[in-house]
Amino acid sequence: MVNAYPRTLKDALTLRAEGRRPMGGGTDLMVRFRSAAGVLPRFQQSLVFLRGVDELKNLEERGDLIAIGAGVTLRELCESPLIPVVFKNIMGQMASFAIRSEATLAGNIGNASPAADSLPFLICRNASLVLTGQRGDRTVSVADFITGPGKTLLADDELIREILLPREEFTLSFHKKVGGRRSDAISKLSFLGEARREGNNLFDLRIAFGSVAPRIIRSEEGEALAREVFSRGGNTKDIEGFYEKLITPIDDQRSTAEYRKTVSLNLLRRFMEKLREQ
Amino acid sequence: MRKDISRSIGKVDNREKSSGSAEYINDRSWEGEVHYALTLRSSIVKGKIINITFPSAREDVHIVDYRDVPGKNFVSILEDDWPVFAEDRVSYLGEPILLLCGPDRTVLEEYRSRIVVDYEEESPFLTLQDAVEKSDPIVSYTIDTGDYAGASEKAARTVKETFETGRQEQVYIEPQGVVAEYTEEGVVLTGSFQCPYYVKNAVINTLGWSGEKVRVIQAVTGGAFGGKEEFPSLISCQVAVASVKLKKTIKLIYNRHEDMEVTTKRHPSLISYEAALDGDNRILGVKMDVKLDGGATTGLSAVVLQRAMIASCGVYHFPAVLATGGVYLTNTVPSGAFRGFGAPQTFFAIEMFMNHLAAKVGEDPVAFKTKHLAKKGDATSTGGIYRDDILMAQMIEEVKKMSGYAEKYRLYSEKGNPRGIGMSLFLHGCGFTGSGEADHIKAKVYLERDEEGRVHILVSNVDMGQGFKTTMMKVVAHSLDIPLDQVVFNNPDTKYVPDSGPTVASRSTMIVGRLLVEACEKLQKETGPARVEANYSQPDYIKWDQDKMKGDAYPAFSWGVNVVEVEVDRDTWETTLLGAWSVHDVGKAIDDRIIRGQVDGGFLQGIGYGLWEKMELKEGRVQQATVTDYIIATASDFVTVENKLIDNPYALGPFGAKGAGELTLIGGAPAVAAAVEQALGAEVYRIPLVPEYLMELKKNG
Ligand SMILES: Cc1cc2nc3c(=O)[nH]c(=O)nc-3n(C[C@H](O)[C@H](O)[C@H](O)COP(=O)(O)OP(=O)(O)OC[C@H]3O[C@@H](n4cnc5c(N)ncnc54)[C@H](O)[C@@H]3O)c2cc1C
Repeated sequence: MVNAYPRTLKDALTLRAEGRRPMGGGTDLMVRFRSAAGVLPRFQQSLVFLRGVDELKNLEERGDLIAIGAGVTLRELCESPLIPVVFKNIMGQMASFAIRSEATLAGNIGNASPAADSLPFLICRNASLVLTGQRGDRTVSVADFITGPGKTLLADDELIREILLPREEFTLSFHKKVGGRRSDAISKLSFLGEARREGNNLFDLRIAFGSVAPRIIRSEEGEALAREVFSRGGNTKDIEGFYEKLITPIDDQRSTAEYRKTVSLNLLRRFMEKLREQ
Repeated sequence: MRKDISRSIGKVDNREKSSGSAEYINDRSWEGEVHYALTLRSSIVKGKIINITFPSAREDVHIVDYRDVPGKNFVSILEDDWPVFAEDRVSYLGEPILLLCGPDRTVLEEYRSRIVVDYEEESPFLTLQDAVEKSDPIVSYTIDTGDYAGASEKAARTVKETFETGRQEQVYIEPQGVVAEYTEEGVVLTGSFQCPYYVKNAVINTLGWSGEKVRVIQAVTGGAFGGKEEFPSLISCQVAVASVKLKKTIKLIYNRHEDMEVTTKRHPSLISYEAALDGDNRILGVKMDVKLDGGATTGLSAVVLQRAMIASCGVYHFPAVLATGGVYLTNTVPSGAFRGFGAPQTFFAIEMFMNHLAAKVGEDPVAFKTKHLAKKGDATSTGGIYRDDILMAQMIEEVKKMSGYAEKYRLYSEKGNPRGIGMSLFLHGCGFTGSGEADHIKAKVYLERDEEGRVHILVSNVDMGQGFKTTMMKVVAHSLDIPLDQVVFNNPDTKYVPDSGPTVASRSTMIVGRLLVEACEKLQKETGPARVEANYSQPDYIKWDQDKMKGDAYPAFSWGVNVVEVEVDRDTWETTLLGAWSVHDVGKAIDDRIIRGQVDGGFLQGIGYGLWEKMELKEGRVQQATVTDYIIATASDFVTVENKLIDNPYALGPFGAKGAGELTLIGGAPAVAAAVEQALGAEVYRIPLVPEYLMELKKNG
């Protein structure tokens, strides 16, 4: 297997079109295809290693958006003044310092794991991706891009080129990652609730759950219901009842379905309480 | 006056470890052609091997199995029931059947993936419960001290509770690994070992060779925690057989996943306690029973069971003790040595039981425990005598002051307070149980002064990160009053070092260190180059009856008190540590910072055992077989431990030192469990206290 180390996006795309799989930091790929001690990982496909492509390392404001190049690492994002604090906190809880120094945001999205910790945020914020291929660029929302566990809309000749994050302000952002420990833990579940409230006016409310269904859960209907319940000072039980149907977790070696569901709903309740108290 | 030996110096291995220059077994290079070994393992839980179909033979793949074993095809431990290679049957998933050896690991892997083994499956025991219901224990003991029947007859009330503990994985830094070199003089085994002579004796047994032809060298070892006590003997026997057959250097290195799936774990246990209390709520006696899951082989289980039972009284004196226990075999990964060796299971149970009893009789748990503390001159659980000063009352006062225990305990008792604080009291018997040191180990050390006046420590005990080299070099330098750099302590090589016993059982500093002090006294009488030796002899007053489990089980005990403070999140049921405090009596620290290392690591490993470290088997397969899924804590999960050492020099220890290696783990689980109980307002009978379990506990009341 010959692996390739392009320096330009053009070369990267040529290599990609040859059927090579993109590799960012490799922190998912190297683990997924690991082999016996001392044996190289057993990749099923040749790779194109994107680290050397400077064109993918952009990180800048672009109008109402923040553009994040596919080559930017989680650590660089955690250290950048452009990135919202809530997102920095989310990324700061991913893996560990060493891994974050290699891992990219594009890789976290490309991996398309239901437990990927950046996804609830990106989906809550309506982030989108610029996909680039030999036929040119297209933009898709992160929510649409991920179609199932490990499944995406990425075409065989495409790369994620950048992530576009709208610049928005919220008055409340409540995020909770529940993992087995504080670092180097895969989420058992995660919750993100965000809202913009001024006095009694609720201008915006968004809710996302991670790791508790094949895809990140975000529902316009649920959010409308939550806004409505909030305005009439109703019981959060109704909202919980709604989301309970969407939350379809599994039992695995890290946790139980019952725990994942119960705690997700507890966190939703806590978010609504926080919103009231605001 | 010489300076206090406890004053810390830099560990002698600091530089090589922190610079990365230390060569662990997989980092070493070997002369000549190296053949790698991969293991073909049982893919079923229990059954007969009917047939093995191999892909067409290749010149670069060699098969080594039980038919190649020149001597005995079992690992020599206590019982002869651990096959080096499975013959016609397998008794757990992952049991080794054969080795594939060759120069290219990728080829070996590919070859292995095409081997087909046909089995005739049999119905297994998958859990301890299962085995207890349907089989007899393979070993059992009884401790009968005082008159429990009489005590329970006199009792105003009796209380009974049952506890359950799970597996624990050692997660040493580098996975298991060993290299066998075939030479003209015989076979040389180098690996990550705790007990070079265990390896040597096992290989002698399996090769059927004489001792001179088997040489064992310890490679740099990054932690072991008991996991490198008996398991390395198995893989060393395997590569020795391969090396002799193929006349090649054979290298066997596990990756983490394989290591976590097939190497020994801490014994799961079921422990029941019954206490007979008089009208004043004093315990007249206890009856306890321990059932241990030995996994698929006996291994060291019998000795682990003895420790678990001898710990039946905790740090207390009960006039009557009736303890029974048994080891049951299941078709699961073998249980084996793990720091604490049976004691952590029992201490979790006895400490929780004492807390619960206190609650039942309406007393403060610490006050209730304090009035039952063993004192100097009291009988031990096995009818021996506590001969040395016991400073527990003072240590409890100390830890209370350090942690603000009383105030917090009161505050957190209020209903609905999400915080809790818990205290555990514990001890650990130092050295081998009973007359093990005198009857089985018979430790011998050499000390040698060379031409240049440097003094060489020749013992078979190893530094595995715990600081043994530094500790022993200090002992020798202080005894001879020479600078530390005049003392040499290389990794043990059985060609040069005598058998001073294994590096286990909190024995090395106390027993081997003491022998080195004796050797120093002898060396001082010699001038110029000289070699002296010292041999262990048991103090006359120690009497032990192994069959009756009667007498002095240990020559000395180390003691400890832990306090842990937590908060339990009522939405996620996660437990956050807020504080950890400890006071220990290890006799005399040979080096304060090294003991501090034992305290930090042991305490966290004990808390992890109680709180996070869940290892379940499903159909015989380890579910949490990666460090991702098996939750050992990270630095960000822990707090800074405030620790205090109380000097209580032991007359027969070097400079007064007793054991410290295992002690520091034992109190972690019961302390954190007590804290969680308070935070939760519910009683706990099982560890680990993972959030899923806490949620269930609260829901079911
Ligand atoms: C110890 C450890 C802890 C971890 N902890 C967490 C955690 O807490 N939370 C979490 O969410 N994840 C965690 N991870 C997973 C991983 O680190 C993250 O998913 C990381 O963001 C992946 O980025 P990467 O650049 O290393 O991806 P890579 O491994 O390089 O790639 C991952 C996937 O994305 C694809 N890909 C990469 N770049 C592109 C691109 N430009 N265009 C299209 N596809 C691309 C690859 O083909 C592959 O399918 C952990 C991993 C490890 C090893």
